[in-house]
Amino acid sequence: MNKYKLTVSHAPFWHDGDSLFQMNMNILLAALPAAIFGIFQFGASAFGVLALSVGSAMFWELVMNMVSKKPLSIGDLDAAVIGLMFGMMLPPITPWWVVITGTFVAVIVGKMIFGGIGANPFNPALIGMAILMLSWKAFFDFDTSLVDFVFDFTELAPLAAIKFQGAGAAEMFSVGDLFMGKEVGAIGSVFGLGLVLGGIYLILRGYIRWEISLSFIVGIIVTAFIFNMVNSENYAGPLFHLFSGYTLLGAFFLMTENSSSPVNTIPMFIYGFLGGLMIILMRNIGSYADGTVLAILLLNLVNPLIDNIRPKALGKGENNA
Amino acid sequence: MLAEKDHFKEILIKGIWKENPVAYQVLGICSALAVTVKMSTAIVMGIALTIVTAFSSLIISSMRKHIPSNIRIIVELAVIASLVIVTDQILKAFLYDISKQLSIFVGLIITNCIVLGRAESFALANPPADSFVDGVANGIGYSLILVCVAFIRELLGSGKILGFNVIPGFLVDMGYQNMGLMVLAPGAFFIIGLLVWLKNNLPGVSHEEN
Repeated sequence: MNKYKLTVSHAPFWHDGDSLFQMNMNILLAALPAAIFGIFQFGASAFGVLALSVGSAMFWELVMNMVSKKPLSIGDLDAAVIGLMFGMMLPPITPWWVVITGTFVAVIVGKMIFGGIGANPFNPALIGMAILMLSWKAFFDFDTSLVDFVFDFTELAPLAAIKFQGAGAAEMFSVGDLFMGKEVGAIGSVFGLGLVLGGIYLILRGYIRWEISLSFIVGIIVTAFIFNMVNSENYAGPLFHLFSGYTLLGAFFLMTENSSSPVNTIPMFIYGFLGGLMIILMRNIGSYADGTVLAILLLNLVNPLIDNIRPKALGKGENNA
Repeated sequence: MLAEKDHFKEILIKGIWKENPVAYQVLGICSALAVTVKMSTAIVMGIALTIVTAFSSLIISSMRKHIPSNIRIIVELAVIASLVIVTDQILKAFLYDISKQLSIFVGLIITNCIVLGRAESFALANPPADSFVDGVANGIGYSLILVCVAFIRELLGSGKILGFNVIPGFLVDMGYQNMGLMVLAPGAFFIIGLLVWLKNNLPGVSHEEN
């Protein structure tokens, strides 16, 4: 008889002794370059939005902890990460009450109601963002909300421009400008280089999985390339899509959110690729200029299904599974 | 006599709060989504459904010993349908505007799961007085949730309560805007979901505790 009892389970198997605090600290650190660039580009109002967003997200978590009489959990900085991600998706002059409502929805409805950290089926920051975009559409039109700013580059939101003027408008934006942050957009999503560097840092430290980010980018490039090849008058090219809107923020910070993304390798590839596919479909065919928020939420919804593709546990037969 | 009173009280509490038809049994969601953009329609809908449920339970319960069990659904539907038509005609006669806004949903009370549900699960097994109280309780329980949802949706979605503007002018000048989502059907989904969560998490009513 076997003396030892072996537990059969599925991934993840391994823990390196890291803490939530360290992980979230690293995510905040990785997001900082893009956020700081946004502050320099858009000025004090962008800083105000980011600070209010992070602060109010932590405040709502504190309130919820107290109301539900659970141990205080703001120390793990998860609320701060949600707040920063949320703030980075906002236009720089969002009114303060919109920010606070958004973090309320993100933290309380998106995270705490589902059971707190690690139990949320959706990315909380995206939940907040989706509710705001449906409720107050006018604030998320980057062209009108940034009308008072003076920039030394094309003062048009790239995605809205190609939505309403056709792919010819993409000529106005050089890929280098888009990558280096010389574009009109949300606080944290304009500086492509910073987001890529942050993402690579997180991948190297092992906090996010390269499978998701890579397949997401591949999904975008392949889908946009096919659209562009079939009809290059209506649909912009892959590089334009890759460096505009929320794409890079989504690739490295939103798609890879821990509890709403798959844990097995093959599902990660499928999840990432479908994410890229959905975003381009929404941008090219849907009515929204940037479908990133809704596309990733949709993929979060599908995630448990995709994640069923996993190696069969040892010792388990078909019949007694 | 006292025991009798306690008995009715228990049925009432069960219908209105503990086993609330919308928040606990999740019945009648369809009309709850459709008529809750404004409070006035929600209130009228609640009253109409309460009357129909109460009287259909009463009638079905008093006939329960004479209904052959294999055609009971037909009999129940005949009773419910007649009551709904009477209610619809009364609304058309005296509250024509609201009846127009409610449009098809008064007629669709026939298919509302709460009415048939109470008839099937309660009225067929209990005496008429109990069934009447049960119907009233479930109707009030439904109306309660409906009015709550309509209150939140009307306040946030169009800044009004019962048709009166309640958002002070200085807030609008400061940049306040109505929440567009609340006027759309998904808004009702979110609100109902949150209310169900809130109700089932209040101390003493959670069915997950035991």
